[in-house]
Parts: sequence; C-alpha cells; structure tokens
Amino acid sequence: MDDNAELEDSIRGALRRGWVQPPGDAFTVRVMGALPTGRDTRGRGRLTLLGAAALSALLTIALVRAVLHGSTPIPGASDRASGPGDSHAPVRSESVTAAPLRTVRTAVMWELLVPQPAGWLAAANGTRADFTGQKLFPVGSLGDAPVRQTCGHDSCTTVWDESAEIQVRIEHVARPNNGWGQWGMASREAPLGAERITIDGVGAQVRVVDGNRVPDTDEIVDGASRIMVWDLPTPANIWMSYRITAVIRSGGDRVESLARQITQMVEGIEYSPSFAWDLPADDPLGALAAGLRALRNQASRSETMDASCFPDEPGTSREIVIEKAAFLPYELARPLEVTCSSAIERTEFRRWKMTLRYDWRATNEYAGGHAEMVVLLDKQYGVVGYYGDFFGVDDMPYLQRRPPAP
Amino acid sequence: MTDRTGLVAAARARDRGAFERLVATETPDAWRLTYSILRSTPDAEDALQEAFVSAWMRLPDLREPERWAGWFRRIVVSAAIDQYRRRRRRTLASFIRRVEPVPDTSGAFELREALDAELASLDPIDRALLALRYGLDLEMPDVAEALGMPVGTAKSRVHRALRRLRRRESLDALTEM
Repeated sequence: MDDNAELEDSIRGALRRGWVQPPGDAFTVRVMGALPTGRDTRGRGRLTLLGAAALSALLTIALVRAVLHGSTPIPGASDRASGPGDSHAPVRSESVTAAPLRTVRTAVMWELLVPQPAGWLAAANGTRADFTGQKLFPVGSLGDAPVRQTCGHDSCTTVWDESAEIQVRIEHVARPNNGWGQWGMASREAPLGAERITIDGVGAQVRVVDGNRVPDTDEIVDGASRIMVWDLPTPANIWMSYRITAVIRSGGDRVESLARQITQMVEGIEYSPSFAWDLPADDPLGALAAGLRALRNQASRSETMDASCFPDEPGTSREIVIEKAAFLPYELARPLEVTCSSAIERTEFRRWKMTLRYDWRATNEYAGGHAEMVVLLDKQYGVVGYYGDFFGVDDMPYLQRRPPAP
Repeated sequence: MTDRTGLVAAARARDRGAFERLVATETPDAWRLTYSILRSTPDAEDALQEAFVSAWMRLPDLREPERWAGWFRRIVVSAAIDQYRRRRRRTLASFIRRVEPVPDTSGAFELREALDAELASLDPIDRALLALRYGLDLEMPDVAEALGMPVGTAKSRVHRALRRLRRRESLDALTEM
C-alpha cells in the first residue's frame, strides 16, 4: 500500500471512528418543531438557530425583520401574507422624494458598480469592498434619512429608517438546486413569474411580486406592497448569484415611483471588472466539436461513460445501440437503442451551452422518452463545472446511479 | 418513482407528514456527514436541524424531486460549514474539548487523537471535502457538487489537504504503524 493510500485509510478510519449513533425520533420531533408554520416562515427553533448564526445570510433575514417589526413600526403595516388583491394603507413620507438617477457610479459592492439615485447620499464614494471581508458598504442613504445597514459575511442590507419605504438587500448567494447563477439560468427554465433580462450585457432575471411574500425564501415582510428580486450571475462561480431584493413599503403612486428608481438602479449596474468570459467568436461548430472532444476525453477515463454517439454537427442525429451513457455518475445495466442528437448555442452568460440528448422509442419493456445533458463551455471551449446538468435520467431505461466505491 | 422521491414530491407540496418521514429517513446519512465535519454531537445536531429547516423552506424551488439527494447534501454541507465557522469563532480550545470521546480498541489512541486534532485544524471546506470523499466515500464529481465547486478544484484541494496532513510529524508516525 502506498503512502497516500495509507493516509487515506487513516483519514477514513478517523472520520468513521467517531460516528456515533444517529439521533432518533426525538430529533425528528425537534426538527418538526422548528419548521415554520403558517405565516411565520422561520419557526420557533429557527429563532434559536438564527441567534447563533450571527454572520449568516439567514441572520440578515432576521435582522431585516427585526428592523421592520421592532424599531421602525410603520403605520398600516400588515402582519399577514398578502397578494395582489389585497389593499394596503398608503404610507406617505414627506421627507422622501422621488430622486432621479445620475450616472456617476459611487458604490462598488463585490464586483458590482451600483449607480446611485441622485437623492441617495453615497456612503462608499467608490471605495471597493473586500469580497471576503466582514464589512460592506451601503448602497447609499435616501435624503436626510438615517441609513441602517446590516452586513454579514456574504450579504448586506440597507434600510432607510425614517420612511422605511425602500429596503434593499444585496446578497452573494449560493443556492441549492444548482442555483440561479450562470448554471441555473443557462440550463433551466426561469422560475414562475421571472423575466429574463440583461444587465451590463449579461443574462439575469427579475421577479416582481405585488404583496409581501419574498419569492424563493418565503419571507413575509410586513407592510410590503411590492417586492422585486433580481438575480445576477457571478462571473467566477457558475453556481452563485448576486441577489438584490428590494422591498417597497409604500402605497399609491409612490410604489411606481420607487419601483422605477430601484429598477433603474439595478439595470444600471455594471460588472467591475467586466464579465471576463467573452466568447472569442461566433463559431458554434468549433464550440460543439471542442465540447464533445472534452467530454469524450472525460469518458475515456471512465469505465461507465461514453459520449461518442453524439454527432459533431448540431441539429443532426444518429440512431445507435449504446452500452454506456454520457451521464458520468450513472451506468447502463443493458444496451439501449437510442437516437443521439447534439445542439449548441451562445448564451447571455458568455458561455456556450451544449445540449446532448438521447431519445428512445417505447418497447414492451419501457415507455418512450428522452434524457439530456446540458454542459456549459468557456471561451476556450472547456467544460465548465463538473459533468453537466441532467434532465430525465430517471426515465432512461436501464440507467442506474453507480454505487459509491466500496 | 422511488419512495423517497414520492416523499420529496409530497413535502414539496407542503405535506408536513411526508417531510417528517423524510427527516426520519434522511437523518442517519446526513448525520454521518455533519458529524464527520463537526465531530461534536451538539454542533452536528444544530447543523442538521438547520439543514432540514432550510430544506423545508427551499423545497418549492426543487422542481425535480429526483434530484433531492444531491440538493439536500449541498444544504447539509453548507449548514455544517456555517456551524463549523461559528464554532471556530467561539474558540478553538472549546472545540477540541468537545471532540467526542472515542473508545480505543487498538492501543493507538494518542495517534488517533493526533489525527483528530490535525483534521480539526483544517479549513472547514477542506474538512468537508475529506468527510465527503473519505467519510462517505463519494466520487469526486459528487464531492464537488456538494460543495458547489469544479471537480478539478475539489481534487486539488483534497490533494493539498492530504499533503498538509502528511507534513505533520504526528501523522508521519501514524503512517509508519
């Protein structure tokens, strides 16, 4: 046994030696007791956890709620989930004026240049925030209103206390389910109610909700009349997003006015430095050939993977009996007759998107169907990420996930 | 559709009973993962609870219930790393004291203790990498997926972690056993 193998075995032993009896039914009861119920999206146990999670994004949520519920009660605020049909008591604040945007960029957050509405006093003055630091800068303050800012490791919330008409939260989030970073936005359909847009020439998405429930997180923001959520992909990490959540807690005409301001602000964001993954040329054939070559190289190192059936020319197909599939963690238990096809397209995320698809016809043993793999390629046509995003693999006959190594 | 996929689909439709069964089903494996990273029963329980609560809140986003395993594993790893970082801030000394006592059956307790201490000193992400790779014996693509990083990055980090562990004198002694 070589040294590495010995060390790996020692680590394996050390990790497993400590495995004690998993918690039992009492733990299940504890978890269920901690789940949110009804309109409280955090739950009783959640409050305890949040107390300990001082720098987590979840605490940011709690602090936002604390600000909105505790120190800045708003006349007419609602404590229940509401929707488009619900009415809201208008909240007027004479101290807040609708401010036009100016083009001067005065705040830099992470890799974003955020334009400032003229009436929003810049607090950062172009200082660059440390990506890994604990301190970020507020987007700005509104008029003479004091700004309350809560920043954690990967999120920053700015609240204008005097009116509390606008709340802006900027987060750097890694979402489960492959997220809405480049990966999620390139390979998946937009979530319900989302609109795909471009910001600084890069694909992004926005969701606008009339009501007080934040999309995705299910937070209830009391008194909110409109909530807008933008997801901007991060350049370096395909799974992560910058998420900007704007809560408007106002009524009447001011909703539209404030919504326009925040929309202009977000749509005026620039990446700094610019998104660094420009495609070198509009060469889909070259991209597909290179992408397939990369996958086939990967397959050559695997006993269970094969990507040779996919044609090099997009839009064409090939009927063949395969003994291995291109889905790396899976293996085919039996040969399968399929039609293989390839597609390639440029994305607004400055990647190539390669889609490889198997179709199979129904037989006496199984129903017809299809499965596909979506792979992103960078400017050198290298496969980005690990082995692609899979769709329909559970329907593919004879395909089974490989068991873990013994 | 597997039983688990059915439970996930039902839980996604806000069926609390289904989610409760899912919690009971998933706890043993998820527990091993959180415990491998945290080496402390209270911390592992806190992290696991947070992971389940987070999963419940985010389940409506999981549009393909069959992808639950990888999706949930990422949540678990993230919760454990967060918990680990919070604990590190509480002081390293308290962490070392909270490592679970392990029955010694081979007479190599000192070396094991040294290995535990060395593992505990790793960056939380490296610790999670090793827990996924060697604790759960996952393939590198699955390890990378759980941590949201490219396979190449995961491999190089594992390699660096092994090299770092090897450099420690105590582990030199261990591997000579």
